[in-house]
Amino acid sequence: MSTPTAVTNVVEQVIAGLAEATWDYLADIGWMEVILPGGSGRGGVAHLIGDDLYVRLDVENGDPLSVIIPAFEAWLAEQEGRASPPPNAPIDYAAARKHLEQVLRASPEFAAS
Amino acid sequence: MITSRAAWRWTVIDPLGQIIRCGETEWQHVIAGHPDVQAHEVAVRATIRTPDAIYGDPRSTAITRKRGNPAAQIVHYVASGRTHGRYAGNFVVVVVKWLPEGRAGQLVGYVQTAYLPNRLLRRLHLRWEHYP
Repeated sequence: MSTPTAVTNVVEQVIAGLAEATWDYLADIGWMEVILPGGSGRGGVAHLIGDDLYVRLDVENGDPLSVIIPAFEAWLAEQEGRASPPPNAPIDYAAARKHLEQVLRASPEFAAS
Repeated sequence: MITSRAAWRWTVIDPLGQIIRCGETEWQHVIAGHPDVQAHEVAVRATIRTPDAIYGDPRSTAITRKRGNPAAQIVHYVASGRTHGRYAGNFVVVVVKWLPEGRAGQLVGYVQTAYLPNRLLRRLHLRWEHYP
């Protein structure tokens, strides 16, 4: 099991990779996978963060590979204090990235020892 | 509605007697970046056939319904003890879209994605559970 300090380093790796990440949206069910640079094609385990999202970690070395956000539109609306997503609104990736950084930094799983 | 496609990678029957289909296109998308799931394809099929539990996913269901499938339900088939090697100890989760089809409205499922998590999402609702 990862130590809190090690997981904190994972957060910083995720946040550093967001600028170059690929956002892969499975529109039919509304799931987003934010694939970090070099994160595709590597075996990983999805670690639950809070209630709503997963960080996939490389099974070999623990490097973060991607972030999976189920029900992405509902998640983003919740982060912005709205009850539901605005209909037919384009995805605001900048806002999503900002909220994702905040969630990762604030999550108990990433609390430093 | 997806009813006539020939290119199903596989079809299995779940414990509720429902047909669950996995399209070749959908499977290739699932495994494109996830060799962990590719290495567990047998476990993915077994998880649909004999899951530990099936959970409803109300948030994903709401999104799918807004996108034009008002009768769709998104569910998660879950099993433990089916991962191996470095993945041992993790769950197998298969996300499936249920759609009523035909005159009788029989539910048919379509695999959407699969992954190997350490824990389950907390906002799922138990729909069915295996009692040994």
